[in-house]
Amino acid sequence: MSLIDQAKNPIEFLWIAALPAITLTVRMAAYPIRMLRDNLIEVLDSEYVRMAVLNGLPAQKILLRHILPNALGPALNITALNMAYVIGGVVVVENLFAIPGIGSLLVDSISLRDVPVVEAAILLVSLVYILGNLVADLGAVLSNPRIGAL
Amino acid sequence: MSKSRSALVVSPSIHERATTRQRLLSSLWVGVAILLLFLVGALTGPFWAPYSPTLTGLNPPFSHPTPQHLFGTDLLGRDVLSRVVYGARVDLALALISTLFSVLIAGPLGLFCGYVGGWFDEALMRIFDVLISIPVLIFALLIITAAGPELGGSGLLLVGVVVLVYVPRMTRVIRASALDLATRDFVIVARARGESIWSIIVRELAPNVSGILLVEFGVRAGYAPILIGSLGFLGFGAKPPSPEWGLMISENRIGFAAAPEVVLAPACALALLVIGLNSLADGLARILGRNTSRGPL
Amino acid sequence: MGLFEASRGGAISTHGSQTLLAVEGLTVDFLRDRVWWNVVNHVSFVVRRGEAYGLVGESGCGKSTTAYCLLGYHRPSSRVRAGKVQFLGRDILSLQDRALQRIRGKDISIVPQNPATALSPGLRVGDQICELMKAHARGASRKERHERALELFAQTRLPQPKSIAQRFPHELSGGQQQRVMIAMALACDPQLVVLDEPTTGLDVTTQAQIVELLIRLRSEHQLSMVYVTHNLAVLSMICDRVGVMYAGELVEESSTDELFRHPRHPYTQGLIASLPLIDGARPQKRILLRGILQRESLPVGCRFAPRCEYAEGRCYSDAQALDGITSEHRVACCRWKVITSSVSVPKTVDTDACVSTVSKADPVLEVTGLNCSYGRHPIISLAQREMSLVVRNVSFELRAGETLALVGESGSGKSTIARACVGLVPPLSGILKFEGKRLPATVAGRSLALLRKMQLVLQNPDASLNPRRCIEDIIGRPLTLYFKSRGGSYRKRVARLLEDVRLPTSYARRFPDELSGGERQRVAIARALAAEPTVLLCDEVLSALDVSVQADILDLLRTLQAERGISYLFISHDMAVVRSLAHRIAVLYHGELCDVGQTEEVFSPPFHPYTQALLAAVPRVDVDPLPTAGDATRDTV
Repeated sequence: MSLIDQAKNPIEFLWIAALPAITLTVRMAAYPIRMLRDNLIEVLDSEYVRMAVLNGLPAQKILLRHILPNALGPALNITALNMAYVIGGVVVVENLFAIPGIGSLLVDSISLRDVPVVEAAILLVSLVYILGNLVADLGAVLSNPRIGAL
Repeated sequence: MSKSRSALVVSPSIHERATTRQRLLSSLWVGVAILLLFLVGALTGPFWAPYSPTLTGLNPPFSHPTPQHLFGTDLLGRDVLSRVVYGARVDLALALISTLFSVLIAGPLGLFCGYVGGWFDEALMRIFDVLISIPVLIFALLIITAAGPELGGSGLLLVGVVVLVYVPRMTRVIRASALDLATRDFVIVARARGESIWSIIVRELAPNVSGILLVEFGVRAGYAPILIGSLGFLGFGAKPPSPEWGLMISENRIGFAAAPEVVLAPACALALLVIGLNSLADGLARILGRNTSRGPL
Repeated sequence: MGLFEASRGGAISTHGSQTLLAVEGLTVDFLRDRVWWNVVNHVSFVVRRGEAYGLVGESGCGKSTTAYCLLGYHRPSSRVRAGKVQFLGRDILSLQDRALQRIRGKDISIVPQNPATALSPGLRVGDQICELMKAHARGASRKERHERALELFAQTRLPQPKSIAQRFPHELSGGQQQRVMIAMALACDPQLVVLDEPTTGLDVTTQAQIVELLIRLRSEHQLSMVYVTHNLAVLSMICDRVGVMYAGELVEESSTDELFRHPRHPYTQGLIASLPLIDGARPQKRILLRGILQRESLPVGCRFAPRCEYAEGRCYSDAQALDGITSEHRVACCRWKVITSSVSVPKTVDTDACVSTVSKADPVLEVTGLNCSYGRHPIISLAQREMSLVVRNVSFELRAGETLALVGESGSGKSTIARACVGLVPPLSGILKFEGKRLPATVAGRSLALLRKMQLVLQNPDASLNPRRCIEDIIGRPLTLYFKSRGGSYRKRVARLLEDVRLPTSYARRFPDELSGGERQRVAIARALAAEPTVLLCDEVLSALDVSVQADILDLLRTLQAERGISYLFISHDMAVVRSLAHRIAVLYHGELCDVGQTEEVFSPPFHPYTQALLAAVPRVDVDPLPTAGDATRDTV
């Protein structure tokens, strides 16, 4: 494991970033997948899907227009909310792959008690988290008209 | 006789799945089996572990597995197997105890907030909102640093950190459940009868949240070893010469190329424990009819 | 007859019509706890073109399952063990998915019970109906389909079809949603429409409107229908022929008129006898159905035998076949010849007694000028206050030993009044007096002794008992709370209370989920009685129960009142039920009292307009009088 200099050319950056990115992705993907599966089961068993079947709608139509929109919504919501969690996990990944990122900066400045840096880093992290929540909320409103009505 | 099924039922529906008890229980039994393995290993470890976990210089550092040292030796020449076994005591105990404390605090707190409400509830929930919005690991680091160097590495501090992380989240869940229960008819009738607040919380609400509490315990207990391990890995958790697994991984990173087993052993142990706890939680949740797809946070 | 001027299917003659749908030997099982339970057992019937066939029975009798099988659909954890459904020359149950897809929605369509959940939440209703039409190639272009959708909405009397088509399902009221479902069912001009309890769950006036709509649509489009319901009165208004189901079997089938005039099967007789009559005149002797359906111990023969007055040995052992009394009237009872339909029966219940005298005693509960509103926030402006008032200036008295009924539709504020009386909802203004003394506004301000005297029983038997406590704990709680009872005398009192509500004492150690809805409601009543109250507030306690169970509990309430002199504040939306129980009635409309008086007065002209609307909305058993010698009989022989 070597120190990575972010300023090198972008292709190399992608190559180097692959492993940490995969690590984080695998970690993050688990819950949305699970949630999507649970939701899908719930939607498949729902009354309106049953009604669509009883009305003789073809299966693909039902899948595309009735099932997926209602099942995806909460899963996307969860993905955005998982951001906060990932940011925590990022610290470990950065440490492991020796990437000098915000996570490491935060950890180091905490142990050094470098308060201004800690403040700045936490603010940045919180900003990302808030944006993630905002995206999640917007997604929820778009996918479920009932929420938007209020 | 009939071949007519809903055109969309491509796999057995949830009803059929749920009634095939075998499948339901298998995740539960896997979890129980793993957990029992760890419990037994942790409790009886000192009796059968071949070496003391702190005895150094047994073999050259990072030597490969031999019949005497099944997982090899670490950077200070200590037997890795013994360290992993003793590490189970640390990680398992910390995880279970801290989650248990969290449940014991969050349960009554959540019921009270959800049922009684009022300014106490509002204030507490706002505080909790702030606490929850800080990413877990960073929050943990802040607490540990704030606690000062004297307490560093002590089990008590680690338990405290986990409790502080979990109580806000669990309280929210219990509170939501209490809010829902409070609108049920039997609670309304109890209020009309003139029952006192505590009487309602204890007699009517508590029995109905026990299921949720159990599932919460399982789910959060599954994440606790990761948190403790991460802190150990970063150097903020357990301090050497503790055989805590996260710490072991971090210490032996250098020798990964030479003797990968030395890092893999504690890593796999940690992973296995977490899988066991999560399977257990999952099995419990399905039996009790809830889903865990929200994740531990 | 109020709203129902249109006579049932009078113009449609089904005599000699061709068979549209034939069900033969349908048998369906459900899988529960790894055991297969039989839900529909060898049901056979025929629906002719232009006819409305009703399937009636109480909850769990298998009528909905049968109805869904007509579309070739069964729930995932169920199987169709045997049977055929012949429609248009083919057996629906043997069709593959593709063929079924072509038929469903187009040749046979269904109107489901709960329109709110049957509509896809993320799509506008106009789009949903157009999608249906597109799938069945009805209408060549989007514009055409859209226009047809608007036309259908207009036919189902939806106001402003254009605007409705743009809305999402949750933006429509229950009645509007059901109209949309009916429009969808008619969209592709089906040959047969199946309706699964389309009006259950709707307000009584909305129900009346939907029923009227269905009657009109039926005669306009010459529809053939299969109408599933538990409400005999509605059935009598729409259907030409009726099949009565019990525990999965068809026990009687005949034309509607004949069924009400001469019911032959003991279950049918009991069912008809359980109907609360709104028109006052009641037969002198009535049979009430006793017991409940015990699925675990059904005899091999007639499934009704355990509850039947006339059952003898062979009833239990021999399977009962649907035999014809006449070509149109079939009954599955080996003893039908012995049982006469005009009743002289072993068990009679005297129902005349209690309701006649009106108490002259002192008022136990007095409410004056009550105003209530929702929301915890303090109401600031006067305008806001006016808007949010749920109960407006309500005043009434409840005297000792009498029943005062509060009648109104959902949203009329009647539940709020009950909660204000009990102290759960502090009123905005108004005076409450109990036994002459002022009542503190909230529960917290009242003494335990005071709280004891007013007890509350709520509507939903599923939610009114703590699922984690055994029956003894539930009933006994007031005993420990108010009387500090414990030990042997505590158990004895609980046992006596169980007997008082006619439940076996062995139920004490059971849990609520092991009891049926009616039994749970009895437990709720026993719990209230345990406090030995002076006033019992019953908030829609019968609404969630089957008709025969309702009759039982009504009877229980009357007996208890006669024995103990308890006053009831009885809240209901059902005028018929109220008539048989209440001494005095107060009618609520949007939070205001519009009519108060003794039962007989309220039920006879001159009527307050809203009372009249409520009365008119109650479905009445619509049976033609017996033909006199000179009349030609109508449709069927």
